[in-house]
Amino acid sequence: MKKNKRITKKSVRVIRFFIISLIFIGIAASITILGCNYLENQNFKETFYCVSSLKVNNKIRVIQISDLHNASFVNDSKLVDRIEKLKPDVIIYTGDMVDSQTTSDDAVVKLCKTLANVAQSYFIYGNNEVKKNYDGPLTQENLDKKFGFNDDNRDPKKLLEMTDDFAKNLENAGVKVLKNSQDTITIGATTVDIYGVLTSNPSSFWSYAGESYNKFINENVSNLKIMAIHEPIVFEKYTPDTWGDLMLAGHTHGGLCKIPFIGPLYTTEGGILPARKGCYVYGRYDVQGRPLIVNSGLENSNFFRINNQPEIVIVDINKF
Amino acid sequence: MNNFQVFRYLKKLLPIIVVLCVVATYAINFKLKSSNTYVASEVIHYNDPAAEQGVTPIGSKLDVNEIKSSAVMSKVVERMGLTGVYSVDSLISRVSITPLPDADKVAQKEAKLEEGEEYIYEPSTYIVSFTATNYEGSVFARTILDETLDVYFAEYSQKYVNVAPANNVIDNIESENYDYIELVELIDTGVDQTLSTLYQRMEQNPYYRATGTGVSFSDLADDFNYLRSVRLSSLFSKIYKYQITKNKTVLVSDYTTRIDNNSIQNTKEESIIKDTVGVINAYVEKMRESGNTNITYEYILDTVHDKNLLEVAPGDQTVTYDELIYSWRDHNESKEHLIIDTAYSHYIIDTFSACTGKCHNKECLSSSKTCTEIYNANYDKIKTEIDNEIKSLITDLSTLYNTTMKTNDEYNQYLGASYISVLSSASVKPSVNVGLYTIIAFFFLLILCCGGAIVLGRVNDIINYIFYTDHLTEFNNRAYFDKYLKSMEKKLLDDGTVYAMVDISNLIHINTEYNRQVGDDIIKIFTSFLKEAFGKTKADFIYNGNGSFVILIKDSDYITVEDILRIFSLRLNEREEYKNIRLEYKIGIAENFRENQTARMLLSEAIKNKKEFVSQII
Amino acid sequence: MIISLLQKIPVLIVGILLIVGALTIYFRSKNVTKAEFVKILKATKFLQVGILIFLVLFTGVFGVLNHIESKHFVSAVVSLNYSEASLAQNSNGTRYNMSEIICDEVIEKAIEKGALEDVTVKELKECLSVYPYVQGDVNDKANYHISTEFVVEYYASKHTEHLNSENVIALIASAYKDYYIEKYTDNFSLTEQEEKPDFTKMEYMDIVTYFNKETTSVLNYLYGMAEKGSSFVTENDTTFNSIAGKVFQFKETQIEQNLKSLILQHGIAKDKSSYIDRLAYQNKNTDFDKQKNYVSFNLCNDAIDMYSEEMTRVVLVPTWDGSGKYYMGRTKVGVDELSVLATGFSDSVASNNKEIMDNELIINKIKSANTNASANAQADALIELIDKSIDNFTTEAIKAGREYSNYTMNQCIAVSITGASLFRELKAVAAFALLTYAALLLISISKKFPKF
Repeated sequence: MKKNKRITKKSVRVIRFFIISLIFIGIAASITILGCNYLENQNFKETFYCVSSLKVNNKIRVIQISDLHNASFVNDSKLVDRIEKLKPDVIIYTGDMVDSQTTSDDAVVKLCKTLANVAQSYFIYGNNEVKKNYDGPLTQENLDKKFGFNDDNRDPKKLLEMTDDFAKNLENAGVKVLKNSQDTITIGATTVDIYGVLTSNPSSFWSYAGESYNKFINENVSNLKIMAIHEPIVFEKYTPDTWGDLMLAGHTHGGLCKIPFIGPLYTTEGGILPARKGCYVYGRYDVQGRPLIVNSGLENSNFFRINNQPEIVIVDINKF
Repeated sequence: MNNFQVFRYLKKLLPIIVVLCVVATYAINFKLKSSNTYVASEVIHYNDPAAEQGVTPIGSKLDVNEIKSSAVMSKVVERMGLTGVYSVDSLISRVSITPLPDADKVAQKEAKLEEGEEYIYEPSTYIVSFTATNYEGSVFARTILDETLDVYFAEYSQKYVNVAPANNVIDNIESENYDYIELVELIDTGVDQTLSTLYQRMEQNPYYRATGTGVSFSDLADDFNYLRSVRLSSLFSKIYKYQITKNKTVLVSDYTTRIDNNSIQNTKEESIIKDTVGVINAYVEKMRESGNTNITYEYILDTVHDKNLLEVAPGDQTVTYDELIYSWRDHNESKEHLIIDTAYSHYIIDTFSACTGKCHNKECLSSSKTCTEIYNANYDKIKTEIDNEIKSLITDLSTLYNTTMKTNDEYNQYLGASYISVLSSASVKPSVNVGLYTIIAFFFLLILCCGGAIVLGRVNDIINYIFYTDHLTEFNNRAYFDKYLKSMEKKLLDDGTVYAMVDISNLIHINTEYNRQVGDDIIKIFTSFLKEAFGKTKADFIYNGNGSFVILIKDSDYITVEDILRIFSLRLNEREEYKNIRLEYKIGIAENFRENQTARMLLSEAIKNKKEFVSQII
Repeated sequence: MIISLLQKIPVLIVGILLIVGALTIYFRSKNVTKAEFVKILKATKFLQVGILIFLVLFTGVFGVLNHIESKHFVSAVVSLNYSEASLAQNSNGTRYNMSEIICDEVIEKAIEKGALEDVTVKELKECLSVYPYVQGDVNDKANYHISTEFVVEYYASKHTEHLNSENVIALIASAYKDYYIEKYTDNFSLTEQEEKPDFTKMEYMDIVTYFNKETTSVLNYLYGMAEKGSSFVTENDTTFNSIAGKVFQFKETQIEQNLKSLILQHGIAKDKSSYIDRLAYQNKNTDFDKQKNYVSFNLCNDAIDMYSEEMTRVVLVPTWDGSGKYYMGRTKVGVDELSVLATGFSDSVASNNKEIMDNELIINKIKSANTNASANAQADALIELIDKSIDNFTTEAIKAGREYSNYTMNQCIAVSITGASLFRELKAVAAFALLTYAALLLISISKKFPKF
């Protein structure tokens, strides 16, 4: 009996020691990981993707920049320097370059202006730009209420008639702003149509962007079709006959934190562990045989952005 | 003697065994690695059926050693940037080519030969290998082999399949200072030659399209034809129409000379023709006279000439009469063509010398300038236009020639790969399986070392038994004790070392009174009781002879040893054997404890401390 | 490379501790009995504070260094997906050479693509190696193997450790794919000349020649593709032969019949005198050729006449014809060769004659025609129409070719990259922890043995 008591006391001491050690190790490890992560997030990485399309007659390079949220890279000369050296043919901003908490967008416009000298640039609004310039999310309900539309008399052009200073500043800086509209450029011997989505909310996508989108998809089918949209949720909700030859999206911030073996942790729309629910969170996806690339963005001020270095995406398009 | 205990022997030499094994294994591994070579091999097969007859597609002998010829190897060295690093010969010597004959065909050949029939079979499948040293590595071996075969495939095609290349004869032609008409003539001739080459290619493979250029031979031929029929002919007509020349006098002289040369050549041809006709007639007449013109079946051989006779007895098989006829035809053709060429030369002379009637008083006839040059105010402008057109045409033709060369080069590579196929890609194997042999070496050495340790240990036991063991008591003997004392001469004993001495004082008396056997038995009794008493302690027993025992104990003390010896005495008093014999013995004990004594010193003390004891039971 | 060295230090220390512990136990165990030895072992405490602290520290340090070091090694598997790969050929039928995956040109492209800084081609090449994923055995026919998958390994050196390893491998793979596409895949351009000629400056008949050339080029392309894939059906339910049929029909009708006839019948020419001069020169030139051919033809006939009948003796040889039926052949003599030559020259003379006659017809038509603005306008309109149609046919042909290429190439080359694996790292850390624990435990146990 005495022996058992002694053994139990000893076991309790050992267990207590283990638990304290684990807590200590846990704290030390957390501090180390967060510290290292913070340092890592002060630099951006370059993620290269290869996409094939028989519509191209020559190599095309697209650089996608997304979700900057007016973070530190907006004034980073290294970002401009690297993009210059990478020699893109097109630069596409897939939204949330500004932050709705920040008053001034001048730094973003300045960055876009600098990069507009490097390559033809296109800007697509994200939810932060929409919040700052449209007084609220562009859902079908909000838009119908604003314009007094219903299913019978809805006119998408009314939305496009609305102008804002941010778009004007960008246009003056040499950046084309695509709001449910497309632009056509020729890169080498390849003609490329680029479509930018303003109403990326699933409720308002078809009702307000459908007409222009169908025109983009169905006309000049031999042109390379690049579709830029802020939120990738539209691809989860709808499966039309075809999307573009390349789709670029952002918004998700790569799921904030990437847990090894488990995946991205959280997105606003997808909740906890969104990848396991089939959401498009980060990286390259195959959507009806076409590539969708979801950018994790350049925002780096969130302390819980762990194992998820800010990035710019470089997409090289070739024949095969 | 000690029992045979394997683990004792191994444990004693364990560090040496481990170190020796590890060092020797490492040395063997190092030696194997440094002398190891990597052999990259690839299996190739000649697809052309003629290869099994030992000939190439054009009928010449197939020599597979061309794979490692200096022509191929020098290109390999150049392509890999190894010039100055490796000599061509050093690489050639490392290439080996092994035929892989088809067993069925070999059997067939042997069977046919046995029957006296001829059967030609040469292997068409070969293993090509390249050996690289350990330092160069497996990657080097594979790369050299790949490059060698790349070059060989293209060379093979160029030499034996796609024989006639398309030559660019108009390269730098403007710098040669030809007159305009000569220049365009040369361009025309060059294009004509190129077209005949392209038509040959088109016959071989009408739809081949190179990926590097995106064009086919047909496209190129069409492009050359188009340039010729539109732009070149336009140039010709302008040059004729406006009598464009750099120097009329030189031009006329040149063509006049051509006429003269043609005339002389013509005379020569006529002479040859006349003589040939004479020979032909004489030949037929002689054949007729000799009755060799009535050929009946007896004049026909039964056997047909071997197709490969060309190799055995090279030479044209055409009969002499046919050769004479062809010769007559060829010389006549040359003669007639010369006449036409002369007419052409006259045409050129007339064109450039002619007066168009617009100059004054036909002054152009005696002038070194053409009529148009004299009267036409736009002559210089037209000349400049023609210069520019010629330059533009040459540029376009040069581009086409480059495209043709690139297309042809790729076609060569394509043909090479279609005529020779790869059955097994380059695989690299080390000549020695270093890992396996190292493991084998390690285990072998381990067994060897362990065996050696066992042998050494046993031999040591035997030596100890023979030289250092007293056979009566099985204790260490005097020699051992002397050796021990010598080894401990300059050493100080550890604390706790105890020496005990037990001497049978009346042994001589016992031997005398009873006999030696009894004396020995007494000694044995002492031996067994001492062993029993000291039992579990690690005591070293020595029999010094003459009934004198020395016991060496470590990590003990005087009192403990005294107690043990007391037990010994008691035991002795309780003995069953030789109870009646009076045993007189002395016991001396000495301990070293913080006294820094040597062995001899302690021994001396033990001797001094000897006390006498007696044991007599009855 | 400092990291590589630093990573080895904890391993070295643990190794030394292990050896020291083992040796200490070995030497000191000589002083104890077997029972005491077992007793000491049984009395050992397996959970000691000191050991645990050292274990955590050492393993932590090793883990961090190992994590950093493992990022320096990346590999990728390059798979050739096109059909010719299994014949060890490139997609254009030339011989495949694996070394091209990391040749200088590819590495240069990769450096340019990724704008990699402070690294040369040579430095990067030294970090790369390529070998087949599976090797065959040349000594065993049953194990012959054509490799279609290749492993590319990248191990950062001190010159390249500043580069992101995964990016480097991705760029090498991408650059190789670009290099391969440029060099070995279908070009999709039917002609080297990209600029169209200015029709306003060309003679009408030259335009006809040009159109014929263009349509022949398209037909040649289509026939070539039909030979490779005669049963291939495009998205628009056409085959190469069907498109070729349309082009051929167009050529015969619109170009040869309609445009050429319009030009000839109305004698349309932009610069009549120059064009007539050109045709006249061509005829002169062709006439000289015709004369030579005619002379050669006559000489062949004369040679046949001259050939003495007594020298022509033949033997009949039973053989087969081209369709495999029995046929009575005969041995050849000189007149056979001469006859064949004569036929060839005769054909040449006929071609020359036709050429001259064609040109003369054009010359006569042009000379006799009056300037007809309406006919010129019609011809210009027809030329524009034909030009557009040829463009459309070219586009359709190339589109079909692309689809076929896409079908046969099967994405051409696929690359999968294997980066630093967390599982592998964890295995290494766990192994190190075990080794460290064993070493520390041995040291602890060795202290319990009595000294010498």
